[in-house]
Amino acid sequence: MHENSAVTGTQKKEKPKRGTFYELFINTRKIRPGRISYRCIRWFSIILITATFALSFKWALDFLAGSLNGSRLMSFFLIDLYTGLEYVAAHKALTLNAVIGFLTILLFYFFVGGRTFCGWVCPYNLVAEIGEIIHEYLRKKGVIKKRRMYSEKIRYTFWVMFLLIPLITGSIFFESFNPVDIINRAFIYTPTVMLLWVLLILVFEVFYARRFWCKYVCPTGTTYGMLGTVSLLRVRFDLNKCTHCGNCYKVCIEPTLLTDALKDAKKTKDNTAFVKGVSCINCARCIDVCAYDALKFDFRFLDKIL
Amino acid sequence: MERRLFVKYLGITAAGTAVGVGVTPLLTEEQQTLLRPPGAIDEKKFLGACIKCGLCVQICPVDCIKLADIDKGLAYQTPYIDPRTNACDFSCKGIQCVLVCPTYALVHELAPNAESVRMGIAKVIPDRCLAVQGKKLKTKSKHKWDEWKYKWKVNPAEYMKMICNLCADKCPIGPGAITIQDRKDPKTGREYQIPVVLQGCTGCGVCEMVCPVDPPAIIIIPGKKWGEKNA
Repeated sequence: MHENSAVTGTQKKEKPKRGTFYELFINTRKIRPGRISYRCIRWFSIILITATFALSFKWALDFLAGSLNGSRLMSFFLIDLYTGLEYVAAHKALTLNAVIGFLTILLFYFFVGGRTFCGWVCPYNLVAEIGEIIHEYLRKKGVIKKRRMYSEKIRYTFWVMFLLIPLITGSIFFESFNPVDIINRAFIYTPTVMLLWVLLILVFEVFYARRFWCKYVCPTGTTYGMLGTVSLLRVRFDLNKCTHCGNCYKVCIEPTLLTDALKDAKKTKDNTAFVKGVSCINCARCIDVCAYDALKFDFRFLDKIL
Repeated sequence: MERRLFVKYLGITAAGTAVGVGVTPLLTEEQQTLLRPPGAIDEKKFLGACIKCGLCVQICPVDCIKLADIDKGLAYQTPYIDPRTNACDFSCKGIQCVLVCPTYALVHELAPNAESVRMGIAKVIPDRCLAVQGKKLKTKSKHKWDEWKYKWKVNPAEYMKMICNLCADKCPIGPGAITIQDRKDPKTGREYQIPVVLQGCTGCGVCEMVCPVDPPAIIIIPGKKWGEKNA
């Protein structure tokens, strides 16, 4: 009797509570459930950074002044990579502060993985992830059937396009329509009408194309993604532990990344491979959902350097 | 297949660039309507140099710099000063917004000190001016005094004048920028006083802020310099 109840208790624990609020922040699918998920830490990181921007202005702390475009962390300049490129294209000149800020960000994201910015800093990412949850809900209700997939390489057209326009006209074009900065500045300064534009993108993502802005358009993310192809911290896939359950495919915003990693892992001796590619935003959703720890964060090239 | 895709994307890039370049003039204003902070470079170049970070907004001790809204097109979220609500008075001495700008949209060479700043030029509208009409300044202006986020401690006695000369009195540059001069109407022979803007005017907008009539009798024309014809 006593043993039976213990067994049913453990069985209940292992049952995945899908779609509950609890599961947003706590892992339930792991071998040892009950851990705080990466998603929880990530959302906290996004909210913390946005709040630091907003509060350091509101309380005049001067700790992290400015916005995501360009900021001063304790009087040390930081410039967003794509904004820096746009500035050089439009202004056709350099300043010392801009170069220092650009290189600092470049160096930082070289170590922590290029599109870590997208997953851990970008406020639009949080909005888009909530959009994904809304999509899941509506799909369960039967309102939405299936969204279209496009070729992710179209992002390079936008990347080149939004650099060519300032190069020709001499005025920065894209920053007026960048949802990342619109949301960021709405928290720091006053909200503007352009938040409706962000809402429009979100509605388009929920109904027609999954993570449309992040996957196909956002040139800021593309720049960090290009850096990510050579950066150190990435997700490492271990084929030995993988049971091919497919949970990670369901949550990944670009599942082809994981297929490529699987192919790469089969070629190597120790059956492990890093998730390469521009699309991976280091969101660690795959690590969260993997019950067998086949995926984890690791540093690349360390064996070569050390 | 790869090649076809490449050509297709090249076409999309070219088309998008053409649309962007075509749309840009529609989204920028021909005449500068925003009063830029001190040391701002030429308006057309300014849109290429300003990355809309808002550092100048955050550093300003008198909170006079604001960010433009989307009705200004590509100048969305670029800094400007609305002198009527809150004007730049150079009380920060070093001109902090210039020093903090990471991309030199505000250049130190154009604003090494308060006197050499040229943001615009003040223009007097005599029909509205109290001094021209010879009126006393005794009533409060239409500003709510407590809404002023200004650093001066407002002493009401300063604003009780026989003939209004607030703009000249409160000008941070002083007699080099604006003075009250005596004039005589050639037709009627009536003697009156009028504020005259001189070469030293920086266009900071303190005169527009303190002007007690509404709409103000002295306004700032952004981007213009002394001696240039006003459109």
